[in-house]
Amino acid sequence: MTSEEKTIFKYLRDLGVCLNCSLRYLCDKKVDFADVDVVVKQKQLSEAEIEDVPIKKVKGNPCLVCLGLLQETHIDDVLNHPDLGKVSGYDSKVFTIAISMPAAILLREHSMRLHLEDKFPMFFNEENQEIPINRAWKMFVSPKLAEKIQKEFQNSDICEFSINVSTGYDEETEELLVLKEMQPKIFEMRTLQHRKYSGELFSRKGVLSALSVTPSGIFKMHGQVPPDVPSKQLVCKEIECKHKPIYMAGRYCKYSRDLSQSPWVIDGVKAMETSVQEIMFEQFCKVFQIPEENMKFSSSGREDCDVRCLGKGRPFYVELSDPKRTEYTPEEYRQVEKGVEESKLIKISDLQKVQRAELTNIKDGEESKTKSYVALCVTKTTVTDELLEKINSHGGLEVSQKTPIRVLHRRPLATRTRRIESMQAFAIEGHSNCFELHVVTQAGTYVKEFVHGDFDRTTPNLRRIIGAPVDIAALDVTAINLDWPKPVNYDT
Amino acid sequence: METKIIDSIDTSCLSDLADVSDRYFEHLYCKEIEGKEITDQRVSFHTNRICMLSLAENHPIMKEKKPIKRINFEIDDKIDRLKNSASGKGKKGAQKLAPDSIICYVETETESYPVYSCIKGKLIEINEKLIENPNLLVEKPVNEGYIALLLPVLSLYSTFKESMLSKEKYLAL
Repeated sequence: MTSEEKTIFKYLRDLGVCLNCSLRYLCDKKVDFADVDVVVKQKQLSEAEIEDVPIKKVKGNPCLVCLGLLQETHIDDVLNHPDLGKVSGYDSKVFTIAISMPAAILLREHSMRLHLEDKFPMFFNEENQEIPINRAWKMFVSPKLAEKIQKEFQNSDICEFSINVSTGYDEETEELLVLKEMQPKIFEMRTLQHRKYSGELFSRKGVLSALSVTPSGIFKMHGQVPPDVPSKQLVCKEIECKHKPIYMAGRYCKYSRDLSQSPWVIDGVKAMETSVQEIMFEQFCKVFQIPEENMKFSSSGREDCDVRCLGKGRPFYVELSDPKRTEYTPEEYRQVEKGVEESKLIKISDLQKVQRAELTNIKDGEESKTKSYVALCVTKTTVTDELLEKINSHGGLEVSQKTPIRVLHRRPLATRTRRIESMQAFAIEGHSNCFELHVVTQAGTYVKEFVHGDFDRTTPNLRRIIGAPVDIAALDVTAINLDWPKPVNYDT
Repeated sequence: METKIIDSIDTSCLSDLADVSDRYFEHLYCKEIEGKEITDQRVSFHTNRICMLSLAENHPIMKEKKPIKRINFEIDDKIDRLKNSASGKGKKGAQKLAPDSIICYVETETESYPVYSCIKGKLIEINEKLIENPNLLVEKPVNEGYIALLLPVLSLYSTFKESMLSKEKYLAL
């Protein structure tokens, strides 16, 4: 501890700066704001303080830099805030914290820095920066908060659960008005274009950018340097909790030819009673206790409402935002699967929690994966062996597909090349004009159009291959060849 | 639950499954545009409201199976229907059409018949197969021989439909 540091510390304390802020200005990155008493002792600051200003010391005033944010009363304010009760709803064992503080603090910090640079120019040079207020705040608040909420503090870069403390300061606008004198142009424009700035004249960003372009001479002319002692302390206004989304994945089968994947709404009216998504969400809601508005459904492609999806099913995931519970038991997953199956319309399997990083499996698979289909094809004549042979001898082929007329109203017109990996046709007993077409295609192939040709906008097409009109009466997806998510072991 | 595909549907429709063109489209007929007489055209309205243009059954070319020499898509110095470009799902940049805009001229040895848009909207695509083989128009009128696809102005959609003739009424004329 140099004598200069002691002098600075004493000077700040005399001005009415709180203990924590005074320590911040010593620019020592190793200071632990959780236990400043130890620091004071180590640095032998108490002596400096007590020796010279035992009586004059202003006690109890809100700090003229942090407005009380780093003072003991603030901790009590946070710990006793009714909003803190929300925390107990979350099962997270760890937490991180964030602070939203009045912009007046930015102004006061700026003023204090200018003052100290004048007063102690040797010490407050470019390299010596005070410890940022929010960093000190985290260290200061987190241990006591951790004890109160019985969770472990974690750094914000890895922590999924955050507690956000918002503070308010009565004199906020009044104190910031001085910025209008320093930067009349910036804030006049903001006043006029209030719509663009959503009525907020002094946003944190706006204040920071105004301060960064204000020469110190102008600042000193209009502003209070050093800042004056505030008459009021900031208060804790609101505490919000937020957990990062978690993801649940599985595969679904669809047995109905009268069910869309997502709610189908035409001009605000539901066109279908329910959907794959709605059936699923209802069970998620019931078992996991998650409100529907917090869920988002995604899947590896989609089928038309009149197409069944069979076999192992289609990979999907649901994003759950701000989950209270993040861990669920295998029994609960099985319960959701059972509830969904009772709908008789769809079934889900392999339901499990997955990591965010895994979701790329669905997106990356979009182009590369193949899909298997069975199509029920109808001709106008009798299906002969010869006709079947025309298909079966064909092997794989490339088709050029113009965006089908069926979806052209909501998709751009384009011509895409897609691969039919293989196809096989089988006669159907009792239906001499029909055959089953088993086809494996590259993802993104419109199978219905491949069969009937879509007015020859898909070429080649089955109509051309067999040289006679052919239409599709029904279609099933039998496999989406993507190995994700991993299978669930149902034996245990 | 995984019944065979044949058992998963009502098979009564299989003996007489309607053609794709009839399944998705309502075929209407146009003999006049805003009071002005035109040679018979068909406008087929898809359930998604896209319109397909073709020649009607009683158009002289269809009726008399006149050989088509060519189909001319260059309407004038400025408008070439083959240079249409529609981008995005809103079909931005597509040529704008009024009901009496000419889409093409169907030319025989002796005659040239204009084909009209019949609706107000945008041109989505011209059937380019007609350039190579204009007689598709006569040979496969309700399938590969369509002339163009149009995106009608949706607010006027019912008005257009109401101004046209149903298939029964047209064929009864």
